Amino acid sequence: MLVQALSNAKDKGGVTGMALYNNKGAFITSYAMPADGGGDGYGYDLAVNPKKNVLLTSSFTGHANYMRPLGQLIKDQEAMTRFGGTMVLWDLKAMKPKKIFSVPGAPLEIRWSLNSTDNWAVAATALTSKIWLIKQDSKGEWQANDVATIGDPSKIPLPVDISITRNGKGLWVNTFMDGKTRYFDMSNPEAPKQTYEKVTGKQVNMISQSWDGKRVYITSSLLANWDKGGSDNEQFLRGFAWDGKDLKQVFEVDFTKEKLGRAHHMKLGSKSLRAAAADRTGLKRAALS
Amino acid sequence: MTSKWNATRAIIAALRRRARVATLLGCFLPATIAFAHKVGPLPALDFDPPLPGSYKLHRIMAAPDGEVVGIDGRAQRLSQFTRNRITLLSFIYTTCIDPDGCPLAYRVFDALKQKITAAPALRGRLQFVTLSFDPARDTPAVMRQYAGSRVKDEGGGLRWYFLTTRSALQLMPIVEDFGQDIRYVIDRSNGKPRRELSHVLKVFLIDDAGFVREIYTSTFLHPQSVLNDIETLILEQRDERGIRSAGQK
Repeated sequence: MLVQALSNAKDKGGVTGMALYNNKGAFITSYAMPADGGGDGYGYDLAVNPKKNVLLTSSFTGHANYMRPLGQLIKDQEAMTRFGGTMVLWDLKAMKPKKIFSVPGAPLEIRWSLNSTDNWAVAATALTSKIWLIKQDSKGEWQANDVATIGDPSKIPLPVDISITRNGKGLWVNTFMDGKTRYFDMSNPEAPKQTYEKVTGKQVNMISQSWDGKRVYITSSLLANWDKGGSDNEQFLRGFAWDGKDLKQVFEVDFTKEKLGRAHHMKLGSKSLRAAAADRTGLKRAALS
Repeated sequence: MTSKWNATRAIIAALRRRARVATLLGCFLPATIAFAHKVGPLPALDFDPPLPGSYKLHRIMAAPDGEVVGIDGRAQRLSQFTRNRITLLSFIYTTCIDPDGCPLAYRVFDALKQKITAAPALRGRLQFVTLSFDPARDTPAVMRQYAGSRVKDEGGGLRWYFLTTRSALQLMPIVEDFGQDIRYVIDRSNGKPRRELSHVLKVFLIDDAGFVREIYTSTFLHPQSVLNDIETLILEQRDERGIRSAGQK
């Protein structure tokens, strides 16, 4: 298990690292995020592509920033310079940085296309509201390019979580500040096109989808100190049906009403669906209970 | 923890039912050992692996131990086969037909054996362990048949051990400690339902002190990347001997 950290205990800034554990939970070693050669030392997400022997990491900000109320933080110009602006491409086997990309504006979630013939990943930048594509060029060299704009960057919609479809042809993007869930056509990953949007909450963060893409799940909380106040501070898990044209809400768990706190991360069980999709020998899966 | 123990008990129960069926049939099941003699080269890696010695293989965990049975039917400790040499250990079952599963591990081991046998620097330093997780079907006699001529050391100093266990009760602690998951599935591809084992292919690289240093899934299980790792361990041993020797002066 490779765990990405966000900050450090010394100065609570964004310089950080990753920690490696074995499957029994014993610590093995740690890896510092590169802070030279163009690196800022910051971390956020990590996403592997074993077939290409590649690990991608992104960069957010440190404890000193993410624990401050967002309204205060935004007014502090000096603090606002302490956001990540890089993505690092690592040799997954050797766990060594191979290339550092300049990706301004705090690139957050990273998603690889799961198609076996694809060689690209995407990330969205929170502060500059862009979709970045990390892809091999015709010479096999990895490159990072800004390929699409999300909403109106001047209004800082704040793209947060993204979810790529199983076939790599679509990408859901949530923008926290305007509560919108947006769908991008990724048929050409070098030119994504937004084809749909809907306000799905007063504040939205994480988004996940079923393996077949027909069900989409959204939660509300970004960070305790960054979530909105008053009646805008909805806390929920909402489930939607997606027919390719419109999101229709099917259920909601009201976390405020149920006194469950702030709704954030989701993990969807999909063992049977993944097994059926990966099966090439006609085996039917029977889970043991 | 409760659900994990329930799952383990269910697997043991299923393995026991499998053993009882084998007994009712007179301990004879149709000879359906899947020999991994697939023609054609192994697929190429889609990347250049890092050079030996340019990276570190950390100690992941101590290689688990337990009671196993060799092709001669004698019970022994698994640790006898995972110490004193660099070991590659693979869990298989002999009737596996998934080309990216057990047969892949077999093909990779075969390819590695050829390279190791031809490399003087590697002679006498390695051993392979193929361990079945289907004790009901993979008896010592079946494992002997599965092994064929591979058990013979053809002068390259490479030992290849084919092991099984006497029962699910002996097998499961070993499997769980290694973190090798197994499940039962129903194969309906031939019309008649048939129970099969499903697992994620994992091959373990164990150093000569008995520590797991790498766990390969099918993506990284390629002779080139495995050989690089073996050479990385050998370089590490050489460096450690050099440091100890310098310290004694």
